[in-house]
Amino acid sequence: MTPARKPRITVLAAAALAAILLSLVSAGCTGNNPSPASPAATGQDTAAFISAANDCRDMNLTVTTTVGTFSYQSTSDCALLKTAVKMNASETAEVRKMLEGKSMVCGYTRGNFDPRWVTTLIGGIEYCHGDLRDGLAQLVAFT
Amino acid sequence: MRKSLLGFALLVALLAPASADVALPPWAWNAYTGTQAWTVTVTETGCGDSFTNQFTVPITFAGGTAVMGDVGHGESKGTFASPNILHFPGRTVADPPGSSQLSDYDLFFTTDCSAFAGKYDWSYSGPDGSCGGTTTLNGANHNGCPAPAVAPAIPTVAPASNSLAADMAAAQQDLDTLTNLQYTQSINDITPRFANLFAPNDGMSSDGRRNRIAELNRQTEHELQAILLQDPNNYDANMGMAELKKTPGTINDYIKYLNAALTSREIAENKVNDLQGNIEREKNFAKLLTPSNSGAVSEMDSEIPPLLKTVLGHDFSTIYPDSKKAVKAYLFATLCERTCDYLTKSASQAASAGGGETP
Repeated sequence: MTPARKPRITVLAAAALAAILLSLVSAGCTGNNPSPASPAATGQDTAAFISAANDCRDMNLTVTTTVGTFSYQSTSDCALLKTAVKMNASETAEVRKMLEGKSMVCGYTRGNFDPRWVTTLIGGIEYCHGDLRDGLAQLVAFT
Repeated sequence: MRKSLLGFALLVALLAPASADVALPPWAWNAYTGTQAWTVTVTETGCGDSFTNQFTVPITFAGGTAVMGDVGHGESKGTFASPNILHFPGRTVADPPGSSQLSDYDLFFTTDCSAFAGKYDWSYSGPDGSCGGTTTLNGANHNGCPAPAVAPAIPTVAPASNSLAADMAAAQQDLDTLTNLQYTQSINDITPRFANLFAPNDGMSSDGRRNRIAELNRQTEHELQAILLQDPNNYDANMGMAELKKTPGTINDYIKYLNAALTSREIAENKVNDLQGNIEREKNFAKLLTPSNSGAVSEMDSEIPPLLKTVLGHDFSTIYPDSKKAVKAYLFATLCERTCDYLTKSASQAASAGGGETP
């Protein structure tokens, strides 16, 4: 290890620590229980979210797929808010404009959450309302 | 002299447009007072039987109400819901040895005064059992519109058009208003906490909005049915009726009206071409989207086959199974919410509307 690399490692460590602290603070700020999923949500996180949503519990989830990053918020009044946070960089400008930042809200009764709202793009959207639904419906024309 | 010439010219200028635009207003039965005789064909189906009778029946019009003579269960009095739609309330009638409950219904009159049509449901109950059925009424009149017994209203400079296109434009406007109100109410019904993310506050209470939705629903259905009475194949009116019926509870009616609009594979495919063109134009697409150049479109493409079997609780996969394009008209109509008019306006209409989103 050369003396020149020592400060760089220290900087990286400090940055990593700051990132961890930031993510903890950010998690605390959402105020939801249980704690929201990290951006790199796993299949288990998704399953836990679907279970919580099915029970109409407050929970957040962010999932990045091959299509883009989507956030989900379930609420105690049996509602789901789905937002297309960011589409993948390789996506066309047209699709990014039609979907990015758009949301829809889906209502259901306890025990009848439709998991396709989380696992697919268009499954079950006929029961949702919002700009995201309109954008997705329009894209169906180009399949 | 110059002053009087100027005055005359001004008078001509003021009168000319008015006299050019004056036209007879469309016939309105709710503005007529008098009695008309109609040949009414009554077809009753139910209780294991079906039969048709024909009667000559007087209808006595008295402004906003009318009394129809006996078509099987005695006279009945209705109230005009709009100029040519007469609404009859439900009632119970003696039907020996029991009685029958007749549903409320509308009679739709054509504006050329040649016909009317209506249908009501009934249920019979008596010592010999219970059963139900429907009765359709089709009225014919070969004498044209009667001379008004009351002075007609003075035509305005810009009278309402009696063309189907104008009627459809009015119905479409009501449908758009209804769609927006339903959108806002649906989100509020799910949870008010997200409402401000989607729709601006329209200043209406939920009860007020619900009442307005119910009223507009009835009104728009009346308007569209009146158009379909004159032109059963009217594409826009059938698509409008489908939109009104787009709920799981009325899925059969929804499919019926979609089928009435998209009557062939070729028509459905052409409508999808219009749909694509309208979206491309209004969104200022720089290039055609395809599954090969868009990850999202590719993902949707793979999701559609299983989705078609379940969307809105119906199996759409059997409709034009040999044309992926044609069935997209059905899928878009079902998934769209506030931009369904992309499927109803033709590409030329969209182009003449001009504009598009600024990039």
